[in-house]
Amino acid sequence: MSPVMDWMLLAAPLLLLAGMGVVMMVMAAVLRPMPRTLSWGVACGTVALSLGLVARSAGEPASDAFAGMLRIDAYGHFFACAALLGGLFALLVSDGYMDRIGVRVGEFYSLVLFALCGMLGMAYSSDLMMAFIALEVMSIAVYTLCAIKRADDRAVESAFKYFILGAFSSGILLYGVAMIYGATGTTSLTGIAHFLAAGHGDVPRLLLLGGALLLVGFGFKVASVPFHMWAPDVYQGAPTAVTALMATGVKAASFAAFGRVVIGTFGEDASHWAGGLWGMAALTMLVGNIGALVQDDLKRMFAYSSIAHAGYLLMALSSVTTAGETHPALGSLAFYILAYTFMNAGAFAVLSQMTDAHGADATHIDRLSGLGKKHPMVALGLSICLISLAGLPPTMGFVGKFYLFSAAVGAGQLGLAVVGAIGAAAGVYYYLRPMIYMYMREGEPELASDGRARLALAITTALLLAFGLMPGPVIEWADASVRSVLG
Amino acid sequence: MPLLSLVTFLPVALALLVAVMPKEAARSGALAASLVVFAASLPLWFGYDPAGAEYQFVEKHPWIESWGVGYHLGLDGVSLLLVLLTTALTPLILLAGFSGVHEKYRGYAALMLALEGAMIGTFVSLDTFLFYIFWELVLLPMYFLIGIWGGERRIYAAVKLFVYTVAGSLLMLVALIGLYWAHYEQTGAWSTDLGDLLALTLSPDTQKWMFAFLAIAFAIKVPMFPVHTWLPDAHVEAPTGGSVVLAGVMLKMGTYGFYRFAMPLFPDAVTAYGPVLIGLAVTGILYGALVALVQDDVKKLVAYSSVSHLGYVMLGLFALNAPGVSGAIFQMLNHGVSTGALFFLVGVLYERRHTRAIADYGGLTKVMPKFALIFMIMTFSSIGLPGLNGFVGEFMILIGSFQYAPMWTVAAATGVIFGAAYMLWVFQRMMFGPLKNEANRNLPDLSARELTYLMPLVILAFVLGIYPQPFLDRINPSVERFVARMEEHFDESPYSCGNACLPSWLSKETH
Repeated sequence: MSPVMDWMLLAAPLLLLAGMGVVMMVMAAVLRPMPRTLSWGVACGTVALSLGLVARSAGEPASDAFAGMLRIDAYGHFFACAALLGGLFALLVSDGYMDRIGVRVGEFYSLVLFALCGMLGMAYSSDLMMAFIALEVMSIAVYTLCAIKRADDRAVESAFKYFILGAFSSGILLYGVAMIYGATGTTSLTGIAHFLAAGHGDVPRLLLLGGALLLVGFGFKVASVPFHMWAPDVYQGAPTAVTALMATGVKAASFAAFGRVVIGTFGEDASHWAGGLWGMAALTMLVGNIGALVQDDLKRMFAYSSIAHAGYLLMALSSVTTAGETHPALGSLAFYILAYTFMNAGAFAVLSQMTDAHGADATHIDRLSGLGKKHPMVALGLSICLISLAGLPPTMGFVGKFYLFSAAVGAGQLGLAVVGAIGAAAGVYYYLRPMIYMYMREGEPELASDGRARLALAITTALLLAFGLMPGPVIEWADASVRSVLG
Repeated sequence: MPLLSLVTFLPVALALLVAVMPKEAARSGALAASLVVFAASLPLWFGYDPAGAEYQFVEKHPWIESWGVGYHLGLDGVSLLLVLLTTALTPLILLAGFSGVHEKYRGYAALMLALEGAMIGTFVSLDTFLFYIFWELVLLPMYFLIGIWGGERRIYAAVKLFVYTVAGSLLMLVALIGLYWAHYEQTGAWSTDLGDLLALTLSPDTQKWMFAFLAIAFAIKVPMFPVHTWLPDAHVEAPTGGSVVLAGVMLKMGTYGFYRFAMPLFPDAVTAYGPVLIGLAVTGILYGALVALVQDDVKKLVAYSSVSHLGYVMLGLFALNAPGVSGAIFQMLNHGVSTGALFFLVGVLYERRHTRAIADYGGLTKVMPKFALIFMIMTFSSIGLPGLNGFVGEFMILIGSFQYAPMWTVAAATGVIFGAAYMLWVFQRMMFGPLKNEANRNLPDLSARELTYLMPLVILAFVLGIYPQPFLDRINPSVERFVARMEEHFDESPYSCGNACLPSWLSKETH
């Protein structure tokens, strides 16, 4: 076979998602109105199939594709799985939700597939240009998804904000890429790594500056402080199904690319930005957790919660920069991303059912009052997700938090771990609040009865508990995947 | 048969069963479930050999192998008594709940059983990771018990309890992770097993920060002055059963944590920080007693008396000698019995009159003679009257603490007087005098059911007071090992002031 065919096979999940995205876009234009359930089914099938393709190639040795643009390795597979699972859960809730809010356009699913294709590209890209293109594919699809309810001012506002700030941050990222290219003569991650290895710790200033700009660009995408301002408005304004995708897949993909650059490329040379990463991590954990304390809207609360969790993940990245390649807690980043995907997917499965009779989101925390009595299973499921988000046992969130803190303490970042512990203690307060409303207050909660959303909730809570009690296999997988980028 | 796993997880399994039982069967079903657990825990008492190995009924299996995390359970004399206290109190609590809990009894009983399992888990875990999991798990059922079945300000109290404890726990987690890494650096292997971690040699500075983090977590749970402020709120708002389990067992998790983890793991830090903790313990004894003295709410009074009593336990633990530590452990048991009973008694009154204000009562002896008698016994037990359980523990603690901290012991001993003052005074105000309040004229005396759950505690108070030997026999070998381990780390006296803390006229006589 020609190398091109090999590459095609290697990148089959990406091509499948992109191809089906185009097909569905055309179908949406031709078949009007497009049968809702059919397009939902096709989209789910496509994502499930790409998940299968990723899983099938999981055991194979790492290889380059498209002339070094993509690197198909265990690291990429792990984050691709996380992103696809996030996408699948978002799709599970989206059919019912979109119908309730009155958005019945076939383009929705096509855009989700494009976004997922971009996410996979970010997970596998081994070239800064490729990472940038994948980031844009993902981002532009998500900007559009935010605005998919055109009649809703809030949604449009959120999309607009996201777009303006996102475009701005993309520009900064691209500027950073250009500087790195100027300093090293290449945009390939392996090329940059070779350049750094040859310099023996001597890093040109231009490269340092370029790297710092990359931090800023990625910092925007993962919503880390001080580049987090967009997140609360966008999370709240966007349709809940889209927010679910942002809180799971987008986060996983952004951290995949961020992590590959920091861990895989710069490695110990990233210690030049250690102070910056440290500060970003500490501030993000504090601001996210404190900001969430006073939110009464659940979607907005989850936006701050996602900022806080970005802080925990940055703590892992920051630890890696100081501890180096032999660090045994490297897998914490990957493990936590997966746990985070499950717990957010479960929580948003409940939020997506909180719509009022007019098709608007009704996610004020009051609306949960009495849920424990009226829908005990949904309340139990949401509680498990919240307990996991709070990092309490016996859930995957606890194991993940142990893993992250272990990485930080092992890297000698005791101060950061203590900041994280204080933040997490504040976090417990706001994750408990929904439980207060569900179990300790009386009320008549209205919850759309959406079987597929409840299925998503059931699956995620089962996974959270199972991997909370038996985390061994996921730990090994996460560890092996992060090791694969170390070469 | 894995007896410890059975005793730990049986309540959890039965909790699930109780939660889905038909409503009508829930009461008897829950009671039966808790009695089954108690019966299952009895072989531990009879099978435990005081002269045997340090840990018995050991179960050890790998769990998360790449991390060196194991499933390691074991029982020493101290955990034995705490486990039995837990399994014995739970049926009484569920029986008391028949009348106190009007709504959702199934949920209440299920949470209580789940809580029982989690508490037993903390007492038998010999792996730090496992211990931490149980430690955190205890909080969830307690949070719901207070938050759903509690009084007016229940949500505030529940959240306060949770956030206080979790803040401490997270610091503990950081310290445990630090220890985990220290083990890796010294041996090249990963382990969270307590036995492996005890074998480490840590620099005094490392020990200090780790001990400090653990001590904060445990001190919040005990609770020690000045981090005790969650306790009065939690107790006042909790339903009767919640208060009983909180005072009876949960507070001991803190002191047990010191005994099992914080002190043996960081002996050098104990000698460095011991005086501080002793000072806080004695402050707590006096402060708790004085605040109890001015309460007009009887439940709050009992809550503050817990702060004072647990101060004695801490003082005994940091006496670092056999009488002090044995006394501390024995006092943990006593406090569970007498304060548990006092909370039951307060609950009995509250169910009848829906008020806890001391001023609303008076002269109850005339209408409720049986109640008054039991209240009297428990009052005496709480203040440490010879012949009852409280005396034995307090006496041993004060004897022990006199060796290294004589002046503090003198201060602590005055707490005994304050203790007698607030308990006797409240007894007098509520039980004696004229029956002024008309609403109290027709109060029924204790029913057969109420007697059923109070009598075991009364009997225990006498048994522990008159014939403590079987209990001390089981405590002492474990305590001796503990003390020997601590003594390796100091010569004459653990604390720098040592006997010099004595006034000169006294030290002359002893020489």
